[in-house]
Parts: sequence; structure tokens; C-alpha cells
Amino acid sequence: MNKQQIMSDLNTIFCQVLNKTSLELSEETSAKDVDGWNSLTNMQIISDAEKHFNIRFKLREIIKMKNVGELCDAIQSKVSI
Amino acid sequence: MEFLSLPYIILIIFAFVLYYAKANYHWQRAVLLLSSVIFIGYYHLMYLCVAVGIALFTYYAGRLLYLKRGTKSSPYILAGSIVALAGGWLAARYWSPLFPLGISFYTFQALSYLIEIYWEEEDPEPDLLNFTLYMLLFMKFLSGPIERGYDLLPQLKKAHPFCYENITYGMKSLVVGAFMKLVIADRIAPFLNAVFGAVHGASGIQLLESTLLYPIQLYADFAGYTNMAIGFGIMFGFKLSPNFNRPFVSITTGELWRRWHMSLSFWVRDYVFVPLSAETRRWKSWGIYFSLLVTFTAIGVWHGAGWNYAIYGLIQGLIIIYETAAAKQRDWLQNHMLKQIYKPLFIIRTYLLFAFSLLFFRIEKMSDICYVYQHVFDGVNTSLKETNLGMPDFNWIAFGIAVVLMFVFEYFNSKRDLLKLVTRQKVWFRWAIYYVMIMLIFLFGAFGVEDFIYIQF
Amino acid sequence: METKDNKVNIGNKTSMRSMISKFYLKCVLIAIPFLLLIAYYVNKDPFLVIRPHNDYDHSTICLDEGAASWYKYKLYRRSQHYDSFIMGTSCTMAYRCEDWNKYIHAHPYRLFGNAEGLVDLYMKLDALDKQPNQPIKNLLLIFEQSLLSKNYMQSGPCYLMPPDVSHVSWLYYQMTFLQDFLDPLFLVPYLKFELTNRYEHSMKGIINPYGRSHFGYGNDAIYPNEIQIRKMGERYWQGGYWYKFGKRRFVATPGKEFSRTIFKVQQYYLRRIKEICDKHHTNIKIVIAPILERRKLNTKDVAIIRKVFGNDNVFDFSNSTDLSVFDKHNFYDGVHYRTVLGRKIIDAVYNKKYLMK
Repeated sequence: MNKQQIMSDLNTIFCQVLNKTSLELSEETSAKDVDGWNSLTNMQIISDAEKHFNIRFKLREIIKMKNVGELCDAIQSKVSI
Repeated sequence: MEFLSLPYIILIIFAFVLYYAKANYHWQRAVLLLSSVIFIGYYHLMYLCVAVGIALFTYYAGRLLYLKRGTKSSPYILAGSIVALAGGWLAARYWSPLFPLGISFYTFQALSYLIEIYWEEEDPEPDLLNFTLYMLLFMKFLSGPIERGYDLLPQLKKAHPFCYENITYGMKSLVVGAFMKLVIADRIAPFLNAVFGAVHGASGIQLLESTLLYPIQLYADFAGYTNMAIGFGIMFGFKLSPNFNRPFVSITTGELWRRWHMSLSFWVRDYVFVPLSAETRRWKSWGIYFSLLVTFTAIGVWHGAGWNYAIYGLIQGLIIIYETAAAKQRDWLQNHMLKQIYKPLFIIRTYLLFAFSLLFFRIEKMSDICYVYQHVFDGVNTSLKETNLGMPDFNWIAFGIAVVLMFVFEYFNSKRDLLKLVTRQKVWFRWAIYYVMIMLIFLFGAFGVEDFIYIQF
Repeated sequence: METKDNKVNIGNKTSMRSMISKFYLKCVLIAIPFLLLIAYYVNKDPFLVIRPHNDYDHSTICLDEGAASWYKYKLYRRSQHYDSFIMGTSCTMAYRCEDWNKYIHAHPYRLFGNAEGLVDLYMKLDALDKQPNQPIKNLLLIFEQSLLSKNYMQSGPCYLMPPDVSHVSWLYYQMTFLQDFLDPLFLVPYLKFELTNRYEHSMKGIINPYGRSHFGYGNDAIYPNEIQIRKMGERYWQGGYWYKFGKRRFVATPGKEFSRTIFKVQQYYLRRIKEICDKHHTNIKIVIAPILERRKLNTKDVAIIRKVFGNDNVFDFSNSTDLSVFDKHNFYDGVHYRTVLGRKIIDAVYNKKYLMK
């Protein structure tokens, strides 16, 4: 699975959780750039992403993710294994 | 030592002059350590012993955690240290005849330091003196902000040459803080204390009025204190974390807690809520609700050993759960309502919820809290004159203007840094502002009313 | 290279030094006007609150009379052995210690305050009780509706009592007066008077143009209007204040009462006052002052006072049936009355010659 595709899947998940019609996500996008992306919605996004890609993160991995790019990388490394 | 007391002013002047006598890292660290030791020991020698003891314990626990990283024993070391620190804090809270000042704040700082090392986000500080200073630094010792190791420790490792601009900026922040504390919080404090201290003697309208004004008093008190702490920090070359970001413009209670006592709420978010909600994310929304309840009850209990505090936290948790569950309906309202109506409506709603839940925070006796809830809408008892709570009319006018001034200042300050803007004005205008501010504090401040609300936590 | 570096370094150091001294200089500069004003204030002590003084009777400014009469009491208590006190608002001016002493034969002192409230009165009595070896043989309390209506201790530079009475911190007490001093509404007229030594109408309520305001060891009042009456005679009650309010306002309105004034808090303080009296076996007399309008204190309030202090010790002149009490010649204005009436009231109280029956 390439990064582009993960990004576009993530975009759909974000829109669903945050109840938005469209979102412009880039690798540098972090919680402070997106209205409604906070500690409450973050865990929903991660849990939806886990289900979607059929993976499972460790707590420490979740804490390390600081922006969309890092989330993307983490997913890619898990999926490709 | 209160910030606005003679002993503290003498200490700070001596510390400042000595600190900048030599722009040398070892010298400056020695001055800061000495001032912090005097500052803490001035209250009680026991406080100093406890604080230094906890600093030493945390320092060595951090090194041990680092050495055992990746081994099976590391979770046990972390758990043991947390139990020891939390146990010490609980013992002080419930059983000790003396509650060491600031212990809630520096225990949290110690916990975050250890957890970050365990999560391998941070490496331990090798220098014992640096670490002790990180724990004891006097400007934030009493009531925070609760600093993270990665924010403050690097700042302690270098010399701070005299920077004219920073120092005067810090002094301006100090003046803003003093204004909030003296002109707003301390002005009204005795009158609200009288009502909350004897709720049965107050009329309905007085109870209502005090309930509605208390958040403003608490805010001006704590944010004023934090502004002063940050100002003192800047004067010594440090950047401390902000604690408030205009909390009363929040649309939701969730947002309010991202703007209110931020160094505490971010702490519980990172070290309680995130791990809990990650562990329970399989339960979907229920996991988040559960984590919210635990987190906010923890915030409540952190403030004190009474059921009222636990309930205060629980109410916050319940409100935020409701808000999370009703997010879709709120979005719908937002899209179908005029922004000019939607925003004020929700701001007022959030304020009211906060004000009424704060009663659990302000009043310790449950029967008194119930009394307030039963009688808050009773209205006038004898005449409308009782709404002045015994405070002279002139003071009310000064108080009202000061509150408006504070909110207006904060509004414009959020658009652009007003303190920096002052620096760019012509000399005569700048000095006029300084004199007016000093005169205002002198004339309208309530001096000698010595209580800082957050000192007891 | 090395020398050059050194030079740069030295240059930096000197500029740093000069910057630091510039900063300290500015700090001093910004503080100078305040320090000067404060030094001037401490030197002058216009409110007579910083140091003990030898004279509390001749003040340049209108004083916090509550504090001043407390200080004067402390100044003379050793030599005069005070044991009897007249307490109340400025309306106590009608009661002369000399007149009162004819009946009690003791060492009286008038311990009053500006627009005193019931709680202020209690605080003062409590402080008296706590003074070492202070007997309280006789008390003459002058009650009015306004005094009874205040259910809190008054603060502010006109009313605040010294820390040993009010239990506020020393800093709070001193800052109250210093702040009032720095208030332009006070400072400007005050400095103007200090410079010119000439009284202007704009200084009313701030500067005391009459010189002496009370006298003697008993702290008896000197009211400038008495001098005016002596000068003007009957014309006093026709011009000025009396003319402004016209006849209509002061037409007697018998039977009209104030609404209820005494609630829970006031009852509490009345009982506390009674407790102190019991402890000292005080002979207490309470006068409910007459006012020109003939508006009487609420019957229920009077009943409460009577219940606490006993029927025989409470004298309600606001409801006096002897209409000569309300003769305008007894009054300076609507509420302040003259020693003529004061004497008459004292006589009625101690000879049990009720002016109301």
C-alpha cells in the first residue's frame, strides 16, 4: 500500500470522525491545525484507522505520533509487514 | 512568601541584582538555587526537606529507569516510583498535620518526568543540581505552572545574559498579573468569602450573584498569579508555560478545559486520559466516556480531600461526555444558526455550567452546597440594596470597569501581543502608560488581603 | 586575532554593564515620583494614622473620626481613667460628657465614628472589653435607623478602624489611607490647600476649615453650625439648608414608620453588645434618636431592642409624644440636633421622666 492511498483513506476517516464534508490533510498537519481534532477525537481516529487497516498500535507508538505524516508512516510500516 | 509581600520583594530584588552581576551559568544557577531554598524554607523547614527529598528520589528513580530501559523490571520501577510519589502526596494530603505547600504541583512534575523517561521520549537529566533547580525553581514552586522536563530543563543549562527587552517585558507581564490579582480578585474576595462562609445568612440574590462572580474571582486570582510567575520567569530569562488562554470564550466545557489551568489539564490529558483511552479504545465511545470520568474525577480529587472535589470533577466529566455525545446536534445548530447568536449563546451556557459546578469546588460542606442550590433563585430578601454584598458602590464601579478592562485587554492581546506593542511606542507615551497602570493598581488595588486561592492545593 | 577577540569581548562586557546600569537607573526614575509622594505623606501623616499624635482635635483634613476618637481615647486613657462611653454616629454631638456626668459621676468619653454602623459600634465595644483593666461602667448608645441598618463592618478611609479594633492587617489599614491620599480627588485639593493655605468651596468634605472639631478629655463636639446660630439667630432656620428643603419636607408626619431594619445579623450583634455589658455590669442606656421628620423606628425593631436590653433601658425618642422635642430650633438639620435637646434627653433618661408618655 503506498503512502498516497493511506493518506486518502485517512482523509475519509478524519472526515467521518470529525463530522466534516472535506478536509485538506498534509503530512505536516497536526492537531492544532484542524478544528475539532483534539484528545477526545484523536483516539476515535486511531481506533478507526486500526480497524480500517487491520493493525494494532502500542500505547508508546500512539504517543509518539505528532502529525498526520507520522501516523501515515506508522500505518505503512505495520501494513507492509 | 506571597509574591506581593515585603519579604518576597526583598528576596526578588537581591536575587535579580546578584543573578545579573555575572552572566555565568554556574553563578546564576547558584543564585537561583539559593533563592529557591530561602523561598521554600521561609515558610517551614519541613517544606524544604520534603521538596528536596522528593527531588532526590525522582532524580535517582529517573536514572534507574534509564539504566533498566527495555528490561522486564522497568515497568515495575515506574510503578514503584509512582506509588511512592503518589503515596507521599496522599499521606501529606490526608494524614500529615502540615500540608507541604506546592507538593501537588511538584509531585506532578516529578511524575511527568519519570513517565517521559519510561516512554523513552526523554533522557534523564545527568546533573543533580540542574534537576533540583527544575523541581524547586521558586517562581513556579507554590502554584505552578506544572513544567515539563523537556521545556524547562534545557533552559536551566545555559547562562542568561542581561536582556533589556526581555526583562522589561517580564515586568509588564508582572504589572498585568498584579492588576488582575489586586484590583479584581482581592477586591471582591472578602465579600464573596462572607457569602460562601455563611450561606444561610445570605439571601437568594446574594447567592446567585456570588455564584456568578466566583469564576471571575478565581480566574483573576489564579491567572493573575500565573502572569506574575511568568513575568518573574522572563525577568530571569525563562519561558514558563501559560496556564490560561481566555477560558471564558469557550463554546464548550471541553474547550474550556483546554483553556483553563492548562498545565494541569494537559498533564492529566497526557498521563491519564491518553493512556486510559488508548487501552479502552476497543470499547468505542464508552472507552472515551470512561476515561473522561476517571480523568476529571482525578482532577477534582487533586484539589482536595473532600467528596465535594470529587463531585466537582465528576460533573465536569459528565458535561464533557454529554458534549461529546451531542457533537453532531451541536454542529447542526452551528450550521443552522446565525454565528452572532450561536456563539454568545454557547459561551453563556458554558460559563453558567462552569459557575454552578464550581460551587462544589468553593464550598466544602455538602449540606451548604445543597442549601445554595435550593435557595439560589429565592430572589430578594429585604431590599435590592443587598445586592451590593456590603461592598461600597464606588468599589463596585471600580471592580466592574477593571473586569471589562481585563477582558478587552485579553481580546486584543489574543490578536497581537499588546505588551510588545507598548515597547514600540514613543518614550513619553510608554511612561505615561506605566504611570497610569501603577497609579491604577495603587488606587484601586486591595492590598493586605492575603489569600491566594490556589496556594492550598 | 586573539587580541581582537578580547577587545570585542570587553566591548560586549562594558555595553552589558552600561545596559544594566541604564536599567537600574530607569527603575529608580520611574519610582521617584511615588517615593517622593510617599515620603511627603509619611512626613505629614494627614490622616493621623501612622504615628501617635498629641493632638487629635485640630486636623487640617476631615478625619476618620472613628479612628481619631479611638486614638484620642488611647492617648488619655491612663491619665483620665475613662470608664463610661457615649457611642454612636456624629449625632452624639448633642451629648456633652459634662452634662452626662451630672447623673453618672464617672469618667466619660465620647467614642463615636462617622456614620457609624451597628457592627462598627460592636467592634469598638469588643476592643474596649479587650483593653487591659478597662472598666465599662456606663454606656449611652445613640441608635438611629441608619446605624441599625448596617449589618457589616464599614471599610474605607472615612470609616475603617485601627487594626486593634477592626482586626484588619496593618498593611491593609495603612494602604487604605495611603491609597486615599494618592487619589487625585483627595490629593489635588489637599496639596492646593497646603500650598495656598486658603479654603475653597471645592475642598468641601476634604479640608476641615473650622480648625478645632472636638475638645476636652471627654471628646465633646464643636459643631460650626452652633457658632452660625449664635451669629444669625432665628435667621439660621430660614436660610440656607432650611430654605432649600422648604417647609413641606419637614411637616411632621406622626405615625409614619421606617420599614423593618433589624434582621438576623443585627440581632446577633445586639446580643453580643448585651453580653459585654453583662460581663462588666454596665449600666446601659439606649436612646433611639428623634429626627425632625418625626419618622419613627419600626415598632417591631424597637420591640427587639427592648427585648435584648430590657424595657427600662431603651428610650425611643423617635416616637416621643412631647412635640417640643421636634421643634426645629432643636435641630441643625434633619438629623443632627443640638446640645439643648441632648441635655433634655439625658435628663429624661436618667430621671425616668419619659418624654414620650
